[in-house]
Amino acid sequence: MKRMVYHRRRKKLGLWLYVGAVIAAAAVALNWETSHLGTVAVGLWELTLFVVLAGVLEMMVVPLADGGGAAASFAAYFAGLLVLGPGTIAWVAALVVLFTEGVLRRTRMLRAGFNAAHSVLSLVAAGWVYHELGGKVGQVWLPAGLPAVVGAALSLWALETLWVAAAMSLERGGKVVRWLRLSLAPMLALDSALASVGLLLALLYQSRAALAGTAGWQGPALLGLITLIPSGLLYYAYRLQGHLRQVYAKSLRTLGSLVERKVEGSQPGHGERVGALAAAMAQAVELSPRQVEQIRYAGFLHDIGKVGVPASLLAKSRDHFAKESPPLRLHSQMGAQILAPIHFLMPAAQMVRAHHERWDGLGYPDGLLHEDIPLGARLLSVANAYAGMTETLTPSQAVGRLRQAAGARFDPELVEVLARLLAESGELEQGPHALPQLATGRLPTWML
Amino acid sequence: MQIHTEVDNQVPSRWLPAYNSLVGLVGYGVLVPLTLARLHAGFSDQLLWEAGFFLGLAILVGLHPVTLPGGVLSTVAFAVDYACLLIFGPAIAAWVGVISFLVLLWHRPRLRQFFNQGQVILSFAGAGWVYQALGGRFVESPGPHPLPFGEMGLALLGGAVAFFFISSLLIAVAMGLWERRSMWGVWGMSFRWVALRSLALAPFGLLMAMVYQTEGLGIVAVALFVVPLVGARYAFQGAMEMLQVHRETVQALSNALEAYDPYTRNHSELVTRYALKLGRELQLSASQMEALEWACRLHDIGKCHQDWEPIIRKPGKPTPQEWQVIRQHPVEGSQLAEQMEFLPNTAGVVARIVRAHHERLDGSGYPDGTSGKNIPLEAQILGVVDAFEAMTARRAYQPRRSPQDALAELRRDAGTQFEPRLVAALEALWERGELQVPEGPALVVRTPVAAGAPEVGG
Repeated sequence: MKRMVYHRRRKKLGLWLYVGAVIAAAAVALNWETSHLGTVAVGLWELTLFVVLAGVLEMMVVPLADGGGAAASFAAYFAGLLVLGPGTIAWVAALVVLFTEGVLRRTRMLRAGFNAAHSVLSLVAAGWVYHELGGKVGQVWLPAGLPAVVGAALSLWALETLWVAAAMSLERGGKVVRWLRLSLAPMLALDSALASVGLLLALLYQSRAALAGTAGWQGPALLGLITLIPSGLLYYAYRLQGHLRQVYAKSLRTLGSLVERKVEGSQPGHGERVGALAAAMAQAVELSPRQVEQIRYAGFLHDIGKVGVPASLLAKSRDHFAKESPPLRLHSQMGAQILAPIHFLMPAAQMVRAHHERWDGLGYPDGLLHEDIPLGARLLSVANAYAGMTETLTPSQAVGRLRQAAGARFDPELVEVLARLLAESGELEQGPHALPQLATGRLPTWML
Repeated sequence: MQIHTEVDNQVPSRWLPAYNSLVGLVGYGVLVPLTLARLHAGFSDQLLWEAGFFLGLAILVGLHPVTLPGGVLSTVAFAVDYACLLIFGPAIAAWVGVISFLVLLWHRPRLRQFFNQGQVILSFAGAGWVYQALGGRFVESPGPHPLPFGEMGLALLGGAVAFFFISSLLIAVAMGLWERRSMWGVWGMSFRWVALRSLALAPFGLLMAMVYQTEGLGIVAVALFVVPLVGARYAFQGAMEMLQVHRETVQALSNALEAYDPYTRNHSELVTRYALKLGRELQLSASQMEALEWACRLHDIGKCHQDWEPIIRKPGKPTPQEWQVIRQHPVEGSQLAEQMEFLPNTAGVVARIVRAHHERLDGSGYPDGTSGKNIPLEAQILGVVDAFEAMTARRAYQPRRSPQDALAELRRDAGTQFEPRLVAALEALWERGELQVPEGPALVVRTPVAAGAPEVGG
């Protein structure tokens, strides 16, 4: 099930109201469903199976391309929905999520409550869809029951994604539609695999007597194993992918920092700061996670071309508005050339090439004007100037200088984006060097 | 598992076609009696449909295979293969394997296809034989049903292990002939770490067989297994692509960082090439090779420092202060390598290799003065090829030497500076013509920086 994993320090009233409403609705739904409990008899071992399975799968949080995560527990809940009915499985989900998130993971209680509540609501609604499409709890027969099964799975997928998208929108800004667009496709890929596992579990559950021969604990234990192997494989594969992405970002950061070691007069950590800041700005203008990732990488590597410029020519004034010598001006082009063989970094290479273009068309290397400059490069240019200036100036002085140059050097809108971002985070009142903290706090962990 | 070889510019052994044909012929020679025996036992139309269904699964799962380090294609197909064996027995399973390979490998050379078909038949036949010999029975065979799989643990394990070993050994011999290496070396490199992962898929296959034989479930429920398998496969592919991107990135950036000096340009590239050849010669394991490759690419990043450039630009011997800086570079390099994590199992190893690549056998090296066996083998390999490359390339403080001269020099230092075994192995590589040391006064390298940069002094 979709899980909200990240949180921001400052809560908003809208978010509080929304979370409260979801929890209240879930309580009402649970109460209503409780009166229908007992329509399907459940043995103790069977109930244990679902509780343990849900608990184990709840701990397997798969990193997703939208920057969030989803627990593999979808399989257990979906199976439970089909064979135990919405009431029982909603109770199981509520208790298991509260326990795993609140106790084992030590998430904030409110967050755990929201995750439990939206699971309950989704399950109850999906149970209703299953019923309306002619499905009977505990009697799943294929292929006749397929429409009801597919309908239930689809509604579960759509609803859980919707609840979380709405919460993300309230928490981090941006329209709900945007968050939905980001997460629907990755969730569909994961949920269809987990729904298959769940359906398999449901089918096996119905014929558990035939499978294990006896009625004791062996049947449920075997079912648990059968479910854990495919979902564990899935989890492992997704984890590996997410892990390698993280590792890659870390390597790029280090490789980018090599320029700072080599080039005299450069600021240690400059590339990292620019990357983090540009990525935060890219998120603020609602670019996709892929674009944000490339912008971050471009920030890490934006000065990589300086390794090709002789040291004697690199010694230059720290003032970012000073005239740069012609050989130094080659560095943006060279950086792009260095990155050219890496196909994956093609968008980042374009940004690196254009990161010294100016809004008024007087920049280099191509003298691009206004929107002809790639958006990523315009972001990078603002972030680069700000990170450079805050070495000596306070953040508010630096923003003042950026505003002076808006419309000439910088895209005026993006300068305002940065100013708003800094104002929201309280950065303007602080001294310099507070930047990376701001940016990483806002970004999904798998990206850095 | 299928064979897939894209090895650089090497001439395969002339025995390879003979071996490929032999495996193919023996395979089909085994398939004929197996098929006849199965035909004799008779089967229903439904069984044929179900076998067709499994064929579809095998093709679906086998599409877009994932390439593992060492060039072996691995798919999650092992689960389907194994389920097929447990359900239908070796004859039908072998046919499913042969036909799925025909479809999947249609564009590959015919002889290699023939080998792969023979290989899959022999694997199924051998695994089926072992499975039955240990008391296993197949779902679609006469006798009481459902099968008590719980009581056939030994047979199940034996069957899976036999399948894996027969198939991987047959492939290892073919790859060994292709690359002119010992089959055990190939096997150790390419298959040892695949073994566990493949065998972990065996329970998956067993579950498919169990679901298949459960009344009221059958083939539809088996199909449900495929969705998570395919999902996992795509995620694995994403992971492998990420690994490849990572490698390309480190390669491109480390080349660029070296390119400031036309003399050391391409140094890491060549060191990596030589070290991997030497590592193969010494039959390092896949994970050792992986760590060695990263260490070679990164061994000199410690030199990426603003104090370094004046030192290397200056002709003549470095001053004592400059030596201090020089002796520090493996330490700085290892600190940087530590910040760059690679695969989970190579993280600290790479940093240790980078740190020790200027240590000497007798303990007179730097930075720690470690000696003998305390220097990691990979670091010793890196040290030897680093010295070899430095001598055969032109440097500011010395003229370029011929590879023969350089090897003679290394031999003189064997026992004190270098491990004699490594020097001997490097010589063997040179004599076989596998080192390919670039000729000419300075390398003409097509690094982007070289093309775009203004001419740098020297």
